[in-house]
Amino acid sequence: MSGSGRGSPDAEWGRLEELFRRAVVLSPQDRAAMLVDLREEEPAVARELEDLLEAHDFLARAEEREPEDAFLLRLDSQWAAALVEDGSLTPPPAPRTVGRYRIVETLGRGGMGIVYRALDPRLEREVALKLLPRWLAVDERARARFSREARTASALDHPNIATIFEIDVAEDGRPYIAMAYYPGGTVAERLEEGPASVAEARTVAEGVLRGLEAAHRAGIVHRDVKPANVVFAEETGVKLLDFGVAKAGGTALTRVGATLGTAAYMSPEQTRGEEVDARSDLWSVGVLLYEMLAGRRPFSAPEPDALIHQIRHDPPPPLGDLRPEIPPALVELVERCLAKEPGARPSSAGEVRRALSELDGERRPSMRGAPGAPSAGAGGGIYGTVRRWGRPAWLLAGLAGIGLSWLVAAGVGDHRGATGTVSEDERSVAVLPFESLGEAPDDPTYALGIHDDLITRLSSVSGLRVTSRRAVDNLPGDERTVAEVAEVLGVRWILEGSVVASEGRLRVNARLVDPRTESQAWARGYRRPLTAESLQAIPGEIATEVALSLDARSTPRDPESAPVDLATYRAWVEGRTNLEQRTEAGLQRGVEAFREALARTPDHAPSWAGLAEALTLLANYRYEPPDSVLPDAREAVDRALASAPELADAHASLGLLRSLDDRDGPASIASFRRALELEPSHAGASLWLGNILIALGRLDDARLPLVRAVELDPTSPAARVALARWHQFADSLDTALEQARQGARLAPSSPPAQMVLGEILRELDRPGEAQVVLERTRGLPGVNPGGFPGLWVELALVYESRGESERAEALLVEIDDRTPPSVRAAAEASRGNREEALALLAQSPIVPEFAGIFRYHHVWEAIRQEPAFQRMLAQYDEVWGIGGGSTASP
Amino acid sequence: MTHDLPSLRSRTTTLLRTAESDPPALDELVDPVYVELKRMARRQLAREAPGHTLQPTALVHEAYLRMVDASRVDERGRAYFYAAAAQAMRRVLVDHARRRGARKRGGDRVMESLKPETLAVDAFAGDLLDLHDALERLAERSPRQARVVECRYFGGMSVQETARALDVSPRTVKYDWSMARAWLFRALGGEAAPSG
Repeated sequence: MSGSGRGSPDAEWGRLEELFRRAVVLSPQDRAAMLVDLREEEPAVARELEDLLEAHDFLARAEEREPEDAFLLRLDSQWAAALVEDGSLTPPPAPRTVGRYRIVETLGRGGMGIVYRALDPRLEREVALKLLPRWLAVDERARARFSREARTASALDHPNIATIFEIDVAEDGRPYIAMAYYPGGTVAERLEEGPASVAEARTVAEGVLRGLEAAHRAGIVHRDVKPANVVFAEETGVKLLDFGVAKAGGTALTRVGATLGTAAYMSPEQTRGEEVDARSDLWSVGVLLYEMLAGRRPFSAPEPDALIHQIRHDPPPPLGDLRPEIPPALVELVERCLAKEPGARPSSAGEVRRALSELDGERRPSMRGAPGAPSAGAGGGIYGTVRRWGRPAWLLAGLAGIGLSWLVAAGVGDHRGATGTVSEDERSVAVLPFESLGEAPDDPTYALGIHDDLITRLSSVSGLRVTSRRAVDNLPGDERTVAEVAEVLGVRWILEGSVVASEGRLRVNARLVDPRTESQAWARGYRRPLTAESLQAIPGEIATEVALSLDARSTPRDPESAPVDLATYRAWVEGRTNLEQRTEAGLQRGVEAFREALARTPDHAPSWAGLAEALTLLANYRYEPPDSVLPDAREAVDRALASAPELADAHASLGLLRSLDDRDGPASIASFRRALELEPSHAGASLWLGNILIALGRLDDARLPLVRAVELDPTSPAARVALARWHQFADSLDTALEQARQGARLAPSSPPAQMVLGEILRELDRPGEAQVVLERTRGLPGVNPGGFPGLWVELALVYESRGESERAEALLVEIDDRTPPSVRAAAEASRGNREEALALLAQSPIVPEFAGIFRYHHVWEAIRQEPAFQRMLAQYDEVWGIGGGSTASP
Repeated sequence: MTHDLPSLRSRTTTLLRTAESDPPALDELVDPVYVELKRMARRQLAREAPGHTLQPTALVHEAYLRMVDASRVDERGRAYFYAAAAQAMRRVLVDHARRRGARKRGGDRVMESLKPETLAVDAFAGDLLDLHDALERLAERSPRQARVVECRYFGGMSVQETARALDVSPRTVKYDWSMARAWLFRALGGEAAPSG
């Protein structure tokens, strides 16, 4: 130790040490006080002390958040590499087996391990086995991170992403990944033979971009896109390897020493150690494209410092100069990807891919030197002697669509804002009924309420398709896997959860599950006091999180309702639950329950809306005479909208009312549209909108709402039947048949559903099958000529077409004067008796519900163009408020 | 030099036995430990022995058992061994880093402290050399704190072991560790974000 005079370095340090020791254990206030004094007396020391304390606090806080990333973490791993890699150690021979896999040969060595070709004796297939280096195996943290990343990546299921079969640990503790073996070789290997043609480069890049699109959507950034990580696979073009593996392995001062090779593909922000997002991958794609086209890397230098400097500051040699025949648009695209600032690059893999596919045809590059042409270096051709990429013809021919579109949004990370456009289906979710755990009798109510509320809130998110409550409630009770449910409902994600309510406490767990892997993308628990406020707040939070996790275009709408007391809440839930059943008893009980709720809380808008819906449906399904319920329904709707003008259900009910009661087509449409604006996944509004559009003669406009209605409620026979009818009217009978079959299967005892099926079969000239269906229908309880005259007509037509005229006649005799003239007119029209048909129609009253049938059904084909018929259609227009007299514009 | 284990063992043991009264020049210990660690590591890898025994603390412990007659050495001597091993470890790493041709970067620091996904060219090696230099600078101001870092970081020693090796109280080791880390963090260009 050197001398210790005052002012000497030692003495200063000694003082600093003493002060640090003291300060580090003080409370913030005391510490601040101490510093104040110190600044006056010893300003230099005070500055240094403050600096140290700040650093100390920062480290402590950061480590609290992420203990794995502690500064100066124990050196568990790197030193082993140091011990081993001194050049005097020959690589150990390949092991014979790893796990159950038998090693065949070594494929390659990289910074992150060794890759072997191996045989899986159990499944009798070849795999590529990547074995992690010992030093990584030794580090618990790195291993854990590697496993996590590998699992995340293995959940990516996409034709352009290498399939991972298994992630496990060998006997010696080294983790390994078993993946599909693609014998085509890597792009790196191909590049050794020379550059690629523009077509080939595009093909490869498109495949890589598709894979990246899928990954980015799932919140995963690859971080190590380079030619060695892109492998050729026969059917689907190219596959991306080594996802996220680059991320595993270390923190400050326990980091992996990367090789120079990898660095050449690093983005500027990566070299700075900044956060990387999807745009960093796009940079790497730029480098990849450049290298494939130019045959050399955009940035290369013998020393790391120089290389990093180039990456950060220097533009690469212009592609256009190196290869003039590359289309300028492509050159520009590559340049954009290689923008130093992430913000200046294309914002998503999808954008780049689309730009690539839109490129005009390029001038044909010469694939070989022409015979007799000068060879290497003579300036002809592309790079002197051009080597062909002598590979399967499919690659040279340029693959047409390579692969198609797919999340584990695991650790929704740093990707937001950098994803490409997604088809609607990727953002579709079904919320399964929440399990009610615990023994208290109130429990089912809370689970039901939360479930219902959650669906409503999620339904208001635009860009997200949410299956209707009806559909999820009606799933068969037997044990079904998440995957099966997702398939039946046609959704990409499942949201499920459980509720326990006991002793004044509420515990809710919710999780977003990926049915393909049964892994959880998101899960959260909520523990709150049992109040109506919590019951309303929790679904709101869940919905917001889920909407964010699924990267939807908006956040859930907050239904406007003040918190209520528990009793009102319970009554409301009972109302909602019964309402969803759509049976007469259910609707009646719903009405009662909503009235109960309103007795307690007179301005509870959701209960008013529920009441309106229940009453309207009672009228719509003819369970009650419209006159007796519609006035109350109207009052209920008004009350609902008065206090909650943005309640989608209320608008939907209003739409129904305007349709049923006012017969105001345009106004009705306006209401349904508003409901859908507020709640895009409102199944009812979609269906009713479609139906009213048909009635108003807007067949084309009706398609989307009806398609949507089926998507949102795939188990609703009404939706299926409506869509089947649409296709029937639009003359796409095969699709009509498909939907009609579904509808009939879902509602075997519903005469309308069966009838539609029968009709369509007849129109498809399959009278035998039609007969079976229609006869079965006739046998259903409650079916009689008075109630379902159409059935008689149809059946008669079938008999006719099969040459059984007497049976046809016998049926038609049953249709007597009690039958509405329009039905008899249909019978006449279908047999070609135009005069009789028109005469009967002239006697028919206008029945607004028949508008669609008259406009589009084939049975009227023969007389549709008759002036009398057209005049009748004009009357229907008037009835529905088109052609003047409407209260609202569509 | 042929590897003569019995005589190495006896030499090392003797050194450590007299540690209390006559602290040996550290080099005398560090060099043989250095050599032995490398030898053991290679041997283990060649045997493809289970990876877990390649953990530094375990390896050092094994080296201790090989090189020292434990029955004849007390706790203090043992701590000395470990401290020497820590130095050896540091040297292994620094040599390795230098061999790989990594350079320090002056202004443009690649290291950003707590981002796990940072991967830069030979970042580890480069950072190690930076750390090595910073540690040397720290040693100029506080030799003891530098030794603490060496023991705890490079040697993986516990607070107790470090305290014994350096003949200070565990409390001192803790404070030293806290302060040295903060100082090194700053010296290595770490930016402490203001508390939120």
